Amino acid sequence: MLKELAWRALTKASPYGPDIDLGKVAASVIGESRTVASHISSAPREALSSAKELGLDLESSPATYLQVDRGDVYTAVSRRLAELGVMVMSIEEAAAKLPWVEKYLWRAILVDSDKYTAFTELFGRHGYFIYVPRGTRVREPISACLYIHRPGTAQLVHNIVVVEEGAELNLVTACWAMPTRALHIGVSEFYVGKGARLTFTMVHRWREGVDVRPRAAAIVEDGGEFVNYYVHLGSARSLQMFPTAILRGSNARAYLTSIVSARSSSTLDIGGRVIIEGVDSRGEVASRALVADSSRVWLRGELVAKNVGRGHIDCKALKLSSESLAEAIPSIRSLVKEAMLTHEAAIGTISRDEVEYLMSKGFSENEATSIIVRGFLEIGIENMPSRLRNYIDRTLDQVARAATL
Amino acid sequence: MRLRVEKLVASVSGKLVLRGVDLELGPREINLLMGPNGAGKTTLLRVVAGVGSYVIHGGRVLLDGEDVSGLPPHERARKGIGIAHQLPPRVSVKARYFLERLRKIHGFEGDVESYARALGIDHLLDRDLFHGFSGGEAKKFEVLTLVVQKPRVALLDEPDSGVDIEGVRAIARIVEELRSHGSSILIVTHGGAIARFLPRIDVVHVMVRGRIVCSGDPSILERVVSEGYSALAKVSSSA
Repeated sequence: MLKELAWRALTKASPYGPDIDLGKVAASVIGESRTVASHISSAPREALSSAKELGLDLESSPATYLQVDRGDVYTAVSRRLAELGVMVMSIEEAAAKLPWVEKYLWRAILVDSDKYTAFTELFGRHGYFIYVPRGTRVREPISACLYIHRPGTAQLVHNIVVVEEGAELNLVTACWAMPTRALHIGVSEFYVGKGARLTFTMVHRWREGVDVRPRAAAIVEDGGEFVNYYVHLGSARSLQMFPTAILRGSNARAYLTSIVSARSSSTLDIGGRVIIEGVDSRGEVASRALVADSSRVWLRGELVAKNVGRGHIDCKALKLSSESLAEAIPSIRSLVKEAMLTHEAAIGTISRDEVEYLMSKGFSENEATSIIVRGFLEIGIENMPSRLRNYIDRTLDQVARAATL
Repeated sequence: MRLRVEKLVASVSGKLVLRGVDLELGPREINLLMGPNGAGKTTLLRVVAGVGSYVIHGGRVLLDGEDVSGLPPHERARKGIGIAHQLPPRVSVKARYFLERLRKIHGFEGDVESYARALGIDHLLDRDLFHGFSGGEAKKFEVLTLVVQKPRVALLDEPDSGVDIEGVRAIARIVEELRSHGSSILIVTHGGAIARFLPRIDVVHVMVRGRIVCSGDPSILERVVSEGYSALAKVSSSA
């Protein structure tokens, strides 16, 4: 049934972002059979060292998933986490070992949402399955990395993350590509149980010839909290994502944050949607974009209230060139009387007054610009573990420095 | 002299504002600069600090004998000229982050937060700079930046305007502390409110229509208050 739906949706374009001709990609993924699953210690040095450049030491992480291209998977889970019942493995391994995993496949996202979800169902390989059992709070960040090494790779992964009732997971993912021509589609489904908390931090560094189509959705139960924090360094040819958080339970929370730096001729279409279904739930969608060179950026935000709740959208772009294009499109829709939904959007540039003020305090013009850019990128998230906060701070410092070179 | 301004002539937007300013500020001195609106006081401070769009037509600015007139503002600040702006612009950077960066470039090792508390602005540190600050809070924050900078010359543009009495007293305490640590201080003031809280004022300068018309001991401050600027300007021009 799923396969049939997928076949039918293979030509269904996404409403947002440039269309990709998947027919050309299909030839490279059909019939390929290579699959290797190994311990992280045997992962290619090059992959481990480039993860370090993104701030992740995979060998010392308490739990790790690394996928190189389509077939090679390396995992590790510390004894302590394994004893607590935390699981990290490829989605195929999980489906083979754990029959109940099947109920999470394509539940938060429809397989026929668009051609990219369909293509992943039909030709995808791997992706991670991460499970944190009831009541287990894992504060220390664990990592999952997807790395494209071979030119022409179509990395199509399906990820499932389950955080059971009262549990906590801080997951940091890094995705990056070496070659100049590749496709990455990451379907990610998140299930956040009652009173559970999932912080999902993504740092992506794509190259100029890479097209990226993440497809993510979370279902959050009563009192659960989902934080989606996305940072894009580098310059993908095109990136389009519109993650959705469905606040199914009451008093649930979702924060969808995207911070991107668009350079050269990149086309980035980012943002997020929160659907408030449970009473007194809250959602926020915040986006920051540095828009340089001849890049084009669309910042979308959508809030839908189907029950009493609150939501806010905050989209801001800082234009660093006159050739670039930035557009912010916040949308709020309430189906009930009592919901409170608000939005703000702004597109501006660095003001001369601000730079001059900072220069009068002793900062060079470049330092002043970098401080302003860094300040622009800051979006506070409450209750973030300090190690994760430090990691994000270092990453944003990198973005600010790169933007002002 | 710590700071010497010599025959400085400068225009802003094509209008001549400074018409030959001479001013000296000695080591560890506190000087007041007074004058009617539009006299050029703020412009003088900004030209000394190298801030803003102005054109120098003549004269120079010397810091401990070194001509800094041609240097960009950040180099002057690094050399030791600090300015507390009258109307700082809103900057979309968290105050705490800005102060941390400022501390690093100026090598300040003191406790910034305790100074912020003393000025009653510690609650603003997690806000963006000057976003939602009252006029008085902005003035206090500017004084805090001088503490971190530890400048050889501190220029304060109306630090006592729009600030409540307790605030002026706190600012004066910090100004005196800066002086005791070696800074020379030049304060632009309208009513001289800050003077009441400073243990010592060395020289008062009066500026009218782009020139220093009178410099002398603190009794000038009382004459300004009782007679106004025009009387002093007349004395000066007849002398």
